[in-house]
Amino acid sequence: MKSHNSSRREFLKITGLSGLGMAMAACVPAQPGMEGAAADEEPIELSLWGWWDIRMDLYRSVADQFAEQNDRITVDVQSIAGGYVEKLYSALAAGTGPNMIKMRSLAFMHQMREENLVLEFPEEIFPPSWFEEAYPLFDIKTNGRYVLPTGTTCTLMMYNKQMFEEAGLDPESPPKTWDDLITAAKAVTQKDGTGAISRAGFAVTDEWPVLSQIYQLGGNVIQNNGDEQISLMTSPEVHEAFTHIANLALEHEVWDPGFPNFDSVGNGLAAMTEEQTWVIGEYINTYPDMYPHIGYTHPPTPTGEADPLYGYKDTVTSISAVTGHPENDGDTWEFMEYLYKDGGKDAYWALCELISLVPERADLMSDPRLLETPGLREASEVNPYERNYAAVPERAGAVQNDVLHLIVREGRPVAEALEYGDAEIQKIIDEGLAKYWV
Amino acid sequence: MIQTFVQRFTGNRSTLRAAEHRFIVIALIPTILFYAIVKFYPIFFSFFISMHEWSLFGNVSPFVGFDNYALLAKDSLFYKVMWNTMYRTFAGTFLGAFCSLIVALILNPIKRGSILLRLIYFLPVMTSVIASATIWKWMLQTRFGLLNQLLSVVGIQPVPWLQSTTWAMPSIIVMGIWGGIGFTVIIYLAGLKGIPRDYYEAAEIDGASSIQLALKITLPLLKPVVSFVLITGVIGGFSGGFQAIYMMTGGGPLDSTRVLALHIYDYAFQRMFMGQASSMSFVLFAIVLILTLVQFKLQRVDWEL
Repeated sequence: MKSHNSSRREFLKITGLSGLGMAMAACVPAQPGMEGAAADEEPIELSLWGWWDIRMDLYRSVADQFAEQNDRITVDVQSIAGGYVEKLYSALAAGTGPNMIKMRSLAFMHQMREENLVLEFPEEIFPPSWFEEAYPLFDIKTNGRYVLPTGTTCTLMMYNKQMFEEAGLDPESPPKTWDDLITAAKAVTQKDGTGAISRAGFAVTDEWPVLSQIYQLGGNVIQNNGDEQISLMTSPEVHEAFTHIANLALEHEVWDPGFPNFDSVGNGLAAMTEEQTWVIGEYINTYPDMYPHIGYTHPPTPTGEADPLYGYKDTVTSISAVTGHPENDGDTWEFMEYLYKDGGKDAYWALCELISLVPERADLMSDPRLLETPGLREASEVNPYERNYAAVPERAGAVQNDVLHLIVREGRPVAEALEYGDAEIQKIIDEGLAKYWV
Repeated sequence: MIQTFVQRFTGNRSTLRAAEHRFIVIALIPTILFYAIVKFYPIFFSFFISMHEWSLFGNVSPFVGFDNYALLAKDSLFYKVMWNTMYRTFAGTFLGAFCSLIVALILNPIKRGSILLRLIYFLPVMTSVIASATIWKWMLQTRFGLLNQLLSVVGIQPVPWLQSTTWAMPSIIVMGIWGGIGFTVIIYLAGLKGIPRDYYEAAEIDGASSIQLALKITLPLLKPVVSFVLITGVIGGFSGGFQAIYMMTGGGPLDSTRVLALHIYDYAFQRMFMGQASSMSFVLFAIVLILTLVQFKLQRVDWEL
């Protein structure tokens, strides 16, 4: 046998050419017929991104049930830890985004819709009549058909019944009006030897302080005429609402900003607060000893009635389909149909229960479990009398806090603080972030 | 060894010099590529973005020239942010450098238990900023925080550390000093160990007191280390602080703790104004570049001395 000695250069040349040839062969597109045939047979893995492991586990259970029925499509449910929006947007910009996402909020949905990042629900699977029947309270006209709600977190008055009893108040007759609130708060407030509050009668939420009171007076933070938005921060209703809340600290001395939000009630450091129902879950899990002593009622209003409203509520949005994978859109809607229709019903109740939401699905709105759950029963009653603020830009909440800070901590007059708030809200409007704020 | 390798690589002694150059270039290619892709491309691309009204999704991103920079010049919030950044940077760096020097001077002569002490003062450096910021937030809570509880023992009314426009930034600065002191002390201790013992012995023979030893020997000979600590501290201060502030105050109250890094993040990833965020990044880049050049200049002077 004759051997042939190759030089190093020849060897490298042959190796390089072989590699190049193989790489080029791999780049040849598959023939159309072959591709179609493969698509019918090959399994498809869709991806669904969200955050918070416990919640995503519930979506995963729906995906597992779906996979049992469908031998071709599986859904990889991923829980993104921290920086959800940043990671999502980076991935979408790079073309490596998921097929579906847990939508952050309605405001975020509008932003994504304007950027053509979310898909509209197809009418052939989700006809308009189905939306009206299945989600009767959801505002399809304003929000379009890009996401559906898991449920609503309504604002309620939450109070410690034990503290009421100790102060000689009837725990079954919580305050209904602003005046009742002040009287009750004074009765349960405790002070130390220096005169400082050691137990607050009332704790003001630091998420959207004063918003419920503005709505209760028939006011709003902005006026939206569709094409134009105007700040109403200096309106009489906003002035009255801020004066009422600030006076709880400055005049009646039943509240101090050192007692923050619902945690103070959970810790036994405050007797009452007005918060959204999602905090009921916090009481159950974080403050289990306090949970049995907490009572729920509608937020006190100037007259005791919802005239016109009890306060604000927030829609917690569920799953949206994302653009960027046109080849898998059909598969995505197959899963979405299962999720949003019968397949996901139990998971939907579990999702509502997880963060104490009033379900928005018609077939869950009269569910006996809802009416048996403390807090959710009251929330389902106030739900039609609260305004959805879900498309309000998050920065507006910071402005509310800043205005309250100026009045209570810095001692500025209400009118002066509201001038500052007016300028800040105007900046939000100027940035185009208030288009869907109603 | 390299020469031998080059000779083997080329197989020709006469072309050794050219081969050496070729080898150096080849060896540098991965590093150059790494820096080009990971460092320089993002920098230039960021500058490109700063000249556009940039959309992440690239459909419409009109060229706006220096408009984003002009917007910064007109934005009162940006001036407030720059003031906050300088306040935090200079106060934090100088106070931190001073405290670290004192700690280093105390620790330097200690022989027994020095390993345990090093562990203790270096522990904050090793701790996650997120974890320590959370603990500091609890400690600084107005009504029930540890600090105010301790102050109440001596009759001081609760101070709203993180809820006051006056106290929020100093609180952040103190937390930053606590977190960084271990690292700076290590640098100072290295500098102190480098001062020859002979100088002290000679001065002691001449009857110098301990204060004179510190002022006449320790501090002058520690000058290069001090300038290194100050300048790297200032450079780090301008671009840092994000995690702790994000966790503890979110930039509030009333933007009193909003620093440049947080402001850039807010504009880029909350408001999605990539063009404006990039222009701010370049302002930050210019500041850090100038400070780095100053550092080089000062270090050169120190060597010449």
